[in-house]
Parts: sequence; C-alpha cells; structure tokens
Amino acid sequence: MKLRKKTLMTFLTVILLICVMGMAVAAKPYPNKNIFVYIFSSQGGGTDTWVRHLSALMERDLGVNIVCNNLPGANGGNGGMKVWNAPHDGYTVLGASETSMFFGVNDVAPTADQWNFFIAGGSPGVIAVHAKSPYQTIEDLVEAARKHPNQIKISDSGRGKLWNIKAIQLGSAVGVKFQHIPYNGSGPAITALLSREVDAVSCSAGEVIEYVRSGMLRPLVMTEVNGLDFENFGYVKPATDYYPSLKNGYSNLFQWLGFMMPADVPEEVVAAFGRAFEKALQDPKTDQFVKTQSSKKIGLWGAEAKKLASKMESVASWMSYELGLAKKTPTELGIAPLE
Amino acid sequence: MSLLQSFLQISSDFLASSVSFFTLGNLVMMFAAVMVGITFGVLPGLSATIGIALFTGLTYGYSFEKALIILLGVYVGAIYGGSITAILINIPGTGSAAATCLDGYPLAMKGESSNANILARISSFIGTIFGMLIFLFLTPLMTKLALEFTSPEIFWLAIFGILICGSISAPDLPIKGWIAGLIGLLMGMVGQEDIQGWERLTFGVSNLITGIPFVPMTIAFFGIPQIVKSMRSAQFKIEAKKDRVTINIWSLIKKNFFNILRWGTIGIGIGAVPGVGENIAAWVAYDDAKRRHKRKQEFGTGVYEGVMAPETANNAAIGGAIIPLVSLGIPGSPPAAMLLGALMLHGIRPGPLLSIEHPQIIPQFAALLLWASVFLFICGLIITKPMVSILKVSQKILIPIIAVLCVVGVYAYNNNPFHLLLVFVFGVLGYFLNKMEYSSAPLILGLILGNLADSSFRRALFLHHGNLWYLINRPLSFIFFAACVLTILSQTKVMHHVKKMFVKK
Repeated sequence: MKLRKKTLMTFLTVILLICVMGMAVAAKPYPNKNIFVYIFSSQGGGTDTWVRHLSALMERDLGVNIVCNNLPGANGGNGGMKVWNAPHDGYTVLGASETSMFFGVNDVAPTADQWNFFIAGGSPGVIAVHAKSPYQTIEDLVEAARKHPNQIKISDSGRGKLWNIKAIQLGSAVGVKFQHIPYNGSGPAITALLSREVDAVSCSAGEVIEYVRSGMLRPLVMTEVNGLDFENFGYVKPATDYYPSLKNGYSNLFQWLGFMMPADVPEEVVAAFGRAFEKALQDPKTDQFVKTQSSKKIGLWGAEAKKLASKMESVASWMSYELGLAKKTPTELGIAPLE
Repeated sequence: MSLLQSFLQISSDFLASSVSFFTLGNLVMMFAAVMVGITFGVLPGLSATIGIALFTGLTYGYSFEKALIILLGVYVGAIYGGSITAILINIPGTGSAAATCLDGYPLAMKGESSNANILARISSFIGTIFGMLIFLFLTPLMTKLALEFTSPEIFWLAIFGILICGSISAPDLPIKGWIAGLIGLLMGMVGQEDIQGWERLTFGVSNLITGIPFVPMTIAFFGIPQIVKSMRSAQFKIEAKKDRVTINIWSLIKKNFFNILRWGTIGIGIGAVPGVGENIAAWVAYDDAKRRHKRKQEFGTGVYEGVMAPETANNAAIGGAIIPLVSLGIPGSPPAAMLLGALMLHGIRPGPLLSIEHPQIIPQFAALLLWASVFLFICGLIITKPMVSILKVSQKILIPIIAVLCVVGVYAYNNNPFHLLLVFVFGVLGYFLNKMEYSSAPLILGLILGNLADSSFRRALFLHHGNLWYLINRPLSFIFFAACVLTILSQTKVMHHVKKMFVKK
C-alpha cells in the first residue's frame, strides 16, 4: 500500500516536471527543436544540392538541427503534400524549385497563394549549339527555322518543363516553328546535342558550362532578360536584346531553388526562418557554392517572393494549359493570365 | 610511338596512384566501404544507387580523395553483394543480380552454394579489373563510341534486351517467357511518358506519375513469392552440409577465357552507353552465355557459366559507366549518376576538361577500382561463410527476418509508403505467376526496358518526322537491327531450314 502511494507520488512529480519543462520549451521562441526539410526531388539534383548547402549554413544560425530528406515523385507532389499535411508550424519545410509553380495545373499540391517562398537562386537559361554547327548566332538559328519550319531540332529536359517552355516562348515570340525534342532530363538532352542528334539544346547555363569551356558547345543566347559571361567564351547576350517582346515572358519565369512553407505559418516563425535564410545567402561559402554551380543568387522571401511566385505561376500554368498538359485549367484554379 | 608513350605514361601514373594508396588509413577505409557496400548489396531493396546516395551525404565533410575511396568501395561492393542473396535465397539483393538468380539458386539447391558463391566472387573480381583496365587505357575511344548511341541505337539495344525474354522460357511452355515479358513491358508503360508528357495507366494516382519503380518490383516478383513458398513448405531445400568448394576454379576460368573476355566487353559496352546500366549488362551477358553453351537446355538448372556471365558483366559495367562520367560528365548508369552528384558536392564539375585539367583523375579512379576489387575478394571471403551458415538457421526464424528486411528495403528506397502497397499488390500477383511456373526474370526485364524502348523509338520517329528509314540508316543502328532480326529468326524454325539448305549445298 505504502509502496503504491510512493510510486503514485513519483509518477505525479514526473508528470509535473514534464509539464513545466514543456511550458518552458513552448515559451522559447522558434526554433526550439529540429526542423525537417523534405526535398521534393532526388539526391544529387540541383534542388537537392542547393537545399542541403543552405540547410547546413542555416542550422548553425538557428541553433537546431535541420534534417534533410528526399521525397521525390508525383512532379514534386509527394514532398509538397508531406509538408502540407504536417502541422503548419515551420518545423516541416519543403525543399523546392520552380517546378512547384506547376503544382496547381498538375493537381498534386496547393497553388502558390497557399505558400510562403524562400527563393535562393538558380542558374540562367541558355540555348547552345554544337561547336561544329553552322549556326553562329541566334539569328542564324531563327532564320534557318523560318526557312525550314519544324526542321530545326531543339532538345530539352521534358515537355511542359521550364526549359521546354523557354524554347517555345522564343519560337512564338519571333514567329517561327522549332521542333522541340523532349528528353528525360537535361543530361540526356545535352548528350543528344553532343552526339548531334539535335541542332540545339535549351537548358541551364550551369549544365553546359563545362562543354562551353572545353569548346565542344557554343552558347547562342541567354533565354533570360540578363546576359551572362561564360568562361573561355565571353559574354552571351540575352534573347530580349534581339527580341524585346520576350521580356514579359522571360522576366516572369526562370529557374529558382529554395524553400517553401505553408502560407498560414505564424508570421514570427516565417521571419525567423527568413532571417537565417538571408544570412546563409550572405555567407562567403555561398559565394563559392554559387560559383561552382554557375548560378546566380536571387535571395527573395516574404511579400516580394510571394508576388514573384504568383506571377511565375500564372505564366507556367497558362503555358502548361496551352500545351494541353494541365489537369486542372488555370481558370478553375483561379489563376488569371498575366497582362 | 606516341601511342606507346602515352601507354607508358598512363601505366606509370596508375602504378604510382596504386602504390600511394597503400596507407593504413586508406586500407581500413576501403575495407569498411566495401564491407558496407556488400551489406547494401546483400540486403534486398538496398542497392548501389542508394548506398552511394547515402554516403554522398555522410562524406560531405571529408576530403575529396577520402570520399571517393568510400563511394567507389560502396559501388563495387554493392554490385557484387547482390549475388550472395540471389544465390542463397533466390532474391536478388540488387537489380543487377536478378540474372544471377536463374542459375545461382539452382546451384545452391543442388548443395553447391559454395561453388556458386566463389564463382560469383571471382567473376565480379575479374569483371571489375577488366572494366578498370578498359577505363584506364581506352577511355577516349569508348567515349567516341558512347556518343554514337543516339535514339535509334538505344531503341535496338532495348529490343535486343526484350528478345532475351523468349530465351528465358519456362520449362513447360516457351510462350510463358513472352507472356511474363509482356506483363513487364505493360508495367513499364505506366507513368508520365517522356515524349508528350502524358500520363498513361496511372488511374489518377499521383504516386504512379513517376512510373512503377524497379527496385520494389524485384522484391515483389522475386522476394515475396520466395518468402511465401518457403513459409508453405516444411524446410529449405538447401543442403548446407556440402558447403565446400568442389570445383576447380582455374580450369573453369581457363576453359571460359574468351567467354569471360566477351562478357566483360558486353558489360563495359553497355555500362558506357548513357542511361542503360549494370542491370541490362547482366542480362545480355547471361543470354550470350546461354546461346553459346553446348548444353543450352540445362541453363536454369544450375550451370556455372550462368553465374559467371552476369557477375562478370555487371561488375565490368562499373568501369564502363564511369568512362563517360569522367570523360564527358555524363553518367553511364544510375549509380554513376549518384557519383556525379557526389563529385559536384565536392566542387568538382565532371566535364570534357576534367581529365585534361586533372590528368591524375583517371589513374586515380582506376587505382581505387583495383583496390576495391581486391577488397571485394577479401570481404567476400569473410562474409560468405557466415552467410551460408545462416541457412542452417530454422526457416521459422529466418523467413520472417528476410520478410522484414524486404519491407524495410522497399521503404528505404524512397521513403514512400505507397511503394509498400505496390509491393504487396504485385507480390500477390508474383506469387500466383510463380505458382503457374511463369519466370519472374522476363517480367523484370520487360519492366526495365519497356519505357526505354518506347521512348527511344518514338523519339527517333519524332526526330525524323515518322520516317522509319532513319531507324536503320546508321552503321551502328543497322548492326543492332541485324542482331535483333537474327535473334528472332534463331528462335523460329526458319533459321533451322536456312542452315539445312547451306549444309546440303
């Protein structure tokens, strides 16, 4: 009997202690426990590399562990829904890229207005040809396509993906028809150009930089509003310099890599995460990282990032719809076309 | 003369790299890495790709040299390790060992598990060394060849692989091989296809957009039927008492010297083609061994060459797969793609200039492959004895453990619970197919090749506006086309008649 009483007392004390400790923990500001980041694509890819790099820097600043896991599949929807279904408290974060702009039309996860964005950086788009190709400038390529519609082959990483859309935007802006050949990722698309199965490739500068440096490929134009200096080659002008009408499309759709959190995560949590995110981007290690990835820093979060994301989502969604790939129409989702 | 000079240069660089590797720290690290690799290979569901992916993250803080020791060790170990499980319990530990099941397990059933194991180990060793030598000396040539593989060539290669289905037929009805192969091809069609981005056979399930994954399916079609069958029967049929090596390895190697060279070449060639990989290399070598063997019909009942061929080829494919990786920055197989990610993480961008700016990198990779294969041999020796004695454990204890490991392996593949559901559903199908004596092998082959054949065929047509002529108008594509036609004819009676006609004349 006595023993039981004693046990009961001990038990109650322990419970009380746990409660007190719990309150103390709860009172501590975000973050007071490990943050889980779910990366919505496989190991070794661009999103994975960026998110792991930033997480390693941010975890020092936030003073908690940031645990990265890969959850690929369903066009990013597997990772997206994992984070969406977890408590919206900032302890479960999505490692994402511009592919998330297609969440709505692909019907795999909520649309951009339901998320917060932390846009770190990305690699600019380029159109490149083989060094032995007769096309010296983008105008040569466009002219050839004008003479032979549907004969100039441009490879890309897959239909309805960013680099495919960039090449389509170029064609429609200048009024010529390229033949877009989709491959399973940028790697095979570039390989196809190296083996001269296609005439040109549309991909990111980071993906071709080594081939340009060795003189195997020649960049013709950046599918962006800004140009880029290529090592061992020189400055490559943006397509908007040749065809100004591309400005609207190109300025509102580009590669980005970073984090996403549901929009209703408490404001102070978003701010704390955002500050650490900004610090990680300013770290000299990130400068080095951006250089080896041949990317550019963007560094947007908060209201600005949300504005950019909603514009980008509009361009991406309507493009996907025009290609006949949208499972849900942009109108259905309430996404207005960009003016 | 300059050829001889460069040969000597490469050789001396390679020797220097190999010798400078010889420090206690490196040896211990390589030993541990190969051991871990073999463990990844042995465990169903965990593959070389996952092993490299995992250790890429874990070696982030290490120096590049150390990380490379670990990653290559894991790669070589895992590709070999799959054969142990394939031989002992008829479940391929990795996809690349699926072909090894066909003759490895029957050998084990006959009480020759030690023979099969040592053959697998020696073949893997020879294969790795062979791949390493070609990688060391012929990288520029092989790179040129790899770039000759455009969509039509890849299409014919895939068709050639699919045709193997017909030769792995069930004992009672040859057509059963084709039926299983077609089920596999159909399963390979599931998911978002590469050309139009359209979803096929997904029934609106978003988890199926990326297709039916290959690794969980090896568990569903090899693992589950084996587990259920063993649970139903009273005892494992393996006679573990005769677990001594009873064959003369050297005479077997001598007898098959040219065969081994050919299987190794198949492995390297297929490994070097971007996007194909170790799995298919093993199948093609197995088929080659069967075709050329005097006692063809005995394949599937435990023929030594049936173990040697796939194990030589899948390990030789490692050397093949890193050829385009180092010379162009294009990975030749899925594990090599992981290796590419690891290199990038260490700030090294593989590309055409890598081997020019860092001339040491090819000899360095080759030296590591050499040491990895030496440790493969040693670790294999250490690990197989206890593995064989595991079979003496009562199956009441063993089978549930294997079942749990299978489930864990499937989950570890992508952390996706949906894959467990897939394994359960297809495992039931696999069990009944197995009961009706359909071989799982052609089904798995169809699954790997279905999407590859489909997308490369349609891409080739798309490139040339539907003109079929472009499928065979290049020298290499024509050779592959001819090989496919000959294979089909050899499976019918036409070839027999043709042969007769010539003999009469």
